[in-house]
Amino acid sequence: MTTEVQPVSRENKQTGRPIEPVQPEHALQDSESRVYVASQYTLMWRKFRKHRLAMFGGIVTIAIYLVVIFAEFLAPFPSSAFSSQYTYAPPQPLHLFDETPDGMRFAPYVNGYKVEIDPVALRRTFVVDPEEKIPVSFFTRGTPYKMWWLFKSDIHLVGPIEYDADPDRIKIPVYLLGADRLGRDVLSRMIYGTRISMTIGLVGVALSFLLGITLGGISGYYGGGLDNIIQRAIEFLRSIPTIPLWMGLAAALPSSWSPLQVFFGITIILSLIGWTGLARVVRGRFLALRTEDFVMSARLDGNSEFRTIMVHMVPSFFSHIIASLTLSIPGMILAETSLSFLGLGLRSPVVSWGVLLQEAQNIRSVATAPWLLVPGLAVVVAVLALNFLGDGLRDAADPYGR
Amino acid sequence: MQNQFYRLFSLMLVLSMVLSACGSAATPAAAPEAAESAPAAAEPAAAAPAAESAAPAQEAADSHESPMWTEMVAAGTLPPLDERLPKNPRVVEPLESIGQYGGTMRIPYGGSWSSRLYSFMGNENLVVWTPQWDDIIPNVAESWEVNEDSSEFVFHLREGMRWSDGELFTADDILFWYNDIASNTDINPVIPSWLIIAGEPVVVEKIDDYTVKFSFAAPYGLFLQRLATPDASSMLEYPEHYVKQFHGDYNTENLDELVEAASQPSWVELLQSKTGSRDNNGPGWTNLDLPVLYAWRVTEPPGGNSTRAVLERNPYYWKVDTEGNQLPYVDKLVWDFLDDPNVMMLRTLNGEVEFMNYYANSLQNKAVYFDAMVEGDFRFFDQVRDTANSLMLHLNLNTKNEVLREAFQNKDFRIALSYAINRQEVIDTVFVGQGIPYQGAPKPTSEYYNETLATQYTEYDVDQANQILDGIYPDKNADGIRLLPSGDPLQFDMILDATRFPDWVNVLELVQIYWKAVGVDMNIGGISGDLLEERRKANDYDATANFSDGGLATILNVGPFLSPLGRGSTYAPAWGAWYDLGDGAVEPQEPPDDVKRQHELYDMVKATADLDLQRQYMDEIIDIAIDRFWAIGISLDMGQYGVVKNNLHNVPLSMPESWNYPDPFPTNTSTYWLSQ
Amino acid sequence: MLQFILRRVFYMIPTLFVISLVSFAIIQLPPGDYLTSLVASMAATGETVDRAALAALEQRYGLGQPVYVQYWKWISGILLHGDFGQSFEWNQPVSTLLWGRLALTFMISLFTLFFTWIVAFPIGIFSAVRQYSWGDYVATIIGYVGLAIPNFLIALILMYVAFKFFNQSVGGLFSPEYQDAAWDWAKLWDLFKHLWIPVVIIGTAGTAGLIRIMRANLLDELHKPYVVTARAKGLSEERLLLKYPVRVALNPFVSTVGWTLPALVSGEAIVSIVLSLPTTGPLLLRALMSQDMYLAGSFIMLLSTLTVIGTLLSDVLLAWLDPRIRLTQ
Repeated sequence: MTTEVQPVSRENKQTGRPIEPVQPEHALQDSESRVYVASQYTLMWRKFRKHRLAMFGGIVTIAIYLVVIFAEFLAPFPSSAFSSQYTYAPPQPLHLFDETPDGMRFAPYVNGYKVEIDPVALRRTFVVDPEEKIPVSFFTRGTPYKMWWLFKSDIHLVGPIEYDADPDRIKIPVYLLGADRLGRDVLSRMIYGTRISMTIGLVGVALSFLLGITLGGISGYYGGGLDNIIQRAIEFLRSIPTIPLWMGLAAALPSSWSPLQVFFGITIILSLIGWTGLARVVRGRFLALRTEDFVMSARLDGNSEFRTIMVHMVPSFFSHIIASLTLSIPGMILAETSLSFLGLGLRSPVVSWGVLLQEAQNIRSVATAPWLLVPGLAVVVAVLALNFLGDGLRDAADPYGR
Repeated sequence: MQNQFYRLFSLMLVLSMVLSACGSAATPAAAPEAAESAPAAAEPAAAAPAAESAAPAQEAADSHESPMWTEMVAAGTLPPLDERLPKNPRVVEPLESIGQYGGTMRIPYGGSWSSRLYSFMGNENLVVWTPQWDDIIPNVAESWEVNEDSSEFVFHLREGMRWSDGELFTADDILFWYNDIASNTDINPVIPSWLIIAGEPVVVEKIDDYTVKFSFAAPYGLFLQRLATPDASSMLEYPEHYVKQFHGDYNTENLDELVEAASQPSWVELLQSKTGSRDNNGPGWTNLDLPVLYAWRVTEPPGGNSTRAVLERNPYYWKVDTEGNQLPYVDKLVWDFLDDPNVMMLRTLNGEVEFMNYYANSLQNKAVYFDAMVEGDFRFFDQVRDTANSLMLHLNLNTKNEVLREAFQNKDFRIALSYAINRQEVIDTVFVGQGIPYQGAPKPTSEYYNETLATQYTEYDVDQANQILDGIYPDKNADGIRLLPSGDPLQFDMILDATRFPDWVNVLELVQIYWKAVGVDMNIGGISGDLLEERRKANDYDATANFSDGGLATILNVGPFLSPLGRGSTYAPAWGAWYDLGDGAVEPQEPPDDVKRQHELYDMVKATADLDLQRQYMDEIIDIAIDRFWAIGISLDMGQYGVVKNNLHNVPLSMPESWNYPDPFPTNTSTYWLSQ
Repeated sequence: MLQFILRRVFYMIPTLFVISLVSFAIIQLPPGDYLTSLVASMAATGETVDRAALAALEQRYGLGQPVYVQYWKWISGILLHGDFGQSFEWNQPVSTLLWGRLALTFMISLFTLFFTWIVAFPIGIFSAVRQYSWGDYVATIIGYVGLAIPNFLIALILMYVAFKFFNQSVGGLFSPEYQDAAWDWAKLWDLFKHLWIPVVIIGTAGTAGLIRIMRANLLDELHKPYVVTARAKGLSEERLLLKYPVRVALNPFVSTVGWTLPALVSGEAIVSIVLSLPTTGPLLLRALMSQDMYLAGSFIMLLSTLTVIGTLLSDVLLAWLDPRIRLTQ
């Protein structure tokens, strides 16, 4: 096994990955002994790096969560800002350089539109006007916002230089990814949607995790009648078709709830259904571990059961749990989009990927405004990245793996 | 164009009254005449194949029936045409041309299916609307008479008219419906409200086999109009000879066995599960054996397993065109059940649908159809809707929340909120610039159009709105929201069925912004239709968005914006319930005097047959409505559209859309024809 | 073994009882009942219902009775007479509706299952044998894309593509001209022309999971001593691979078939709604939306029961393959 590990890890070292959570203290030592003395996490990291897709997935995941954190800064406009003139406006490509009297200069701009209303077809027709240039700038002032409910700012990554303080309307069209049926900026909405959808994934998985590890742990550790009851419960939950269960639970949410409360309600629904898979994994691990010698000795040492579980057993399969968690986040994200599709999901003005896709889920969008489907691409990228990351983590966490 | 099609309701009333007074005048008079000559001409041709079955091909050229039947007639399995038609069939003048027989019409349907089948062919009432919705003309009844004070109505049925199984249709069928179905408390615990006047139900009498008389305890000026609406269809849904076998009063032989075999709890449920195309939620459409009076009859029932329903022509249909050809022209209707509007839309775009008039015809979709018109080989027709406004914002004047109730009942408060809305911006954003700022009021083409009612407080004037509101609630909190006397911020939920009406949500999102700007915090409560209905019934809401039907048929539907009455008046449901505990009414509350006066006036409208008086009463109702300013409108409804294949003929370029005018039936769907 | 099976069957009884309760509870959760929903949907299209008509309907459907009476009526009908009740909306016995739609649903599910296996096995084997190669990555990405794209979105897009570029009639399982036709090769071909869209969409969503399991199982096997021995003895790589490790790695698949089928049955729901397929999904969703309670309740009950039986079969298969499981239970 060791002979296999070395060459690859060396090769990876040469590629020089930027992220290195564990300091390679033993870097100077002979490669053989490096493997023997490396901590468990160093070993895992080395193995993880071999999985290039997982590395890539990891980087993309980090990038996505950066979007989640800095949504206000990254989005050019507020998510609900509309425009009465630019409904279904197509994307405006961003030009970075402009021809000025002094030659080509870095002067970003987008072209304006000529807009006409077609009263028979009931639509606005947009023709890009090559003459009209709307200057755009980076780190520019725009609609004021409060970052993380703490800092006031009005700096946006990108936006029109000239801006109007009205937070509800888009007056100067800079639609890098086009506009939706109310003239709202698809890019901004997608960025805000990222925040909600990825948070649903995280929070939902965290709740599932709590439920799953507790019940799965109890089931696996104690076995017997308790195990039987929990197993029947899991079997029962899994046997109810998801759609009716979603509908029933969603209907049980009080209608007086604010959109934010609905958001948490839906997260809880998703995790109530999602914990069973995790519980099965945990149970399996417990079943395998509880007869191991180190558990036995820990118990004979007079450790309490709780301590035995938390200090001795859980760490030994924690990495597996992390991997399973990563793998269940995409499931949550997809479930949220399905809920929205059924009209049970989040409500305006909360914007999630599911809400955006539900709005784009019609022939009008597919046929005449395909840019509205871009949030679908975001879902694909996020789900792929998280899956690869999870696969890599699991491969890496497997102590018997290659 | 609308003007051309929508003549005034009064005209309709005048005509119907005149008609009824002289027994048969203008249209009905013309009709029988044409009819008399037509079937006469038809007789030899139709009879010929029966007699000389050897040479049917020769005769087919001047046959007045579908080739589908000529062979059967020749073979003797079907009686000849003149024996199938009544003596005096209804003659329908086709809109553009005399049609060709044959072809299959594919029509998509989704949502509530029985209503769609019904509105395409089921509205065969005693009388029907004209295609333009400006008059009432004979249908199953060939003529009628009304007494002086409009309390007695005598209808003459068509002699020799038959159900689709060949049995005669007579006055007994109507009597059976009234005595044994509508008045049987096992089947119908309550008599339908449209049959009750002055607290007394109608008395139906048989004069002879082809004459029935309806007598009311008091004058009933709107009875003929009610007869043309879907309410009255149940009258002709119960063929006595067939339904008797399921009726406890008639079948004493094997009823228990029938009930047992259908695993129904009792004969009542059995009967209800076998009959009704409007009644009982439409099970009649799934019963192949039920005889009908419609142009087509079901041969493959709509059902869970089949994704479609098939209907074929009724050999005994009792209408002919002006050349005496038996209608309908089209042999077969195939209804594809497509529960997803996107599939319906793609089918239509692909030219696989002959007629599409709902569900996939949102304004947003029109651009896509427009682009595919040539390839898909179809055209548009306009739907002129009865609904007056794009949507109405109803603040519940009877809400259980006392503080809000006080605010909402303050007319100035509502005026301020109306001023605060930038209607032109809403029109530009949501309705692609189509429409004008409008309140809840009869449409400009309606007889009852009133400029003040339609346009008062529609200007966008934030300053004035603030000025008014400052006078009522001067204090604001840190977020700029006005404070109620109790110290709570001025907040309320506006509930609506968000899934069904995404456009409404868009409008409300803008309204939310406008109202916030004047310090009023409105929350959009998108809830399911079921929950909305539950909360409506319990009067458990502060505000809601609603339709405004009655923009054209104002006199039939005053609830939505003139006076609290019935389901449409969610702005003051408890006052409406005081007048009438109609369908799903809330706990009633005594209304103020002017509202009582409105109710009194509407009773007078219903009771009188004098058109001038009706007009006078309606005007007074409208004056009170102007003064009351019940609810806040957004913009004039600009209608929707339908799609027809280019080879489908006799479809008008524009037709009304309303439940009271169950489109497209009154445009004579039996005269639609397909060029091959 | 027999004892194990008997015990599991015995456990099923309370589970099924709870399922029947919960099925009924789920359909009671939304506010109102079938009539509320009927009136709401009528009101939404501007239709009016007379008070008298409502009263007649209420009586006909027996909706005024207490919930437990309705439950007892329903469950006793099923247990004593095999009668699932009547569908309010379709005016037909629920059982007719159920069985009529299940056949097509199972057909789609079976095709989907085969499709999934055909795609997932080669990719799984390939990416285990060539772990961390570019081929592994490309194959894995292809396998995972189906999982990543929301089903309803891909269904809509494929449908639009079929319309726009192939002029194909969309929605349903047959072209209009074959709807009436008797079964022959042409009709069968027409069916396949429509069937591939749902099969691919539902199938791709499931491949990723199978690829993952296959790859992991095979990787486990590949490093076992017997493989090394076989290789050392000069067995060709293909024979070596297919003869033992792949076969062993397949075991878990066989044993999870029971799990997979019901998952596919409910997985097709959303796709079928978008594609207007005559399967159980759209009917179930519609029944739930309109609170057609006996139809919806029986549907949930049936699907759940199928899953429970599926699980039982899985467990039995697993126990048969791996005696350790039998003993620990």
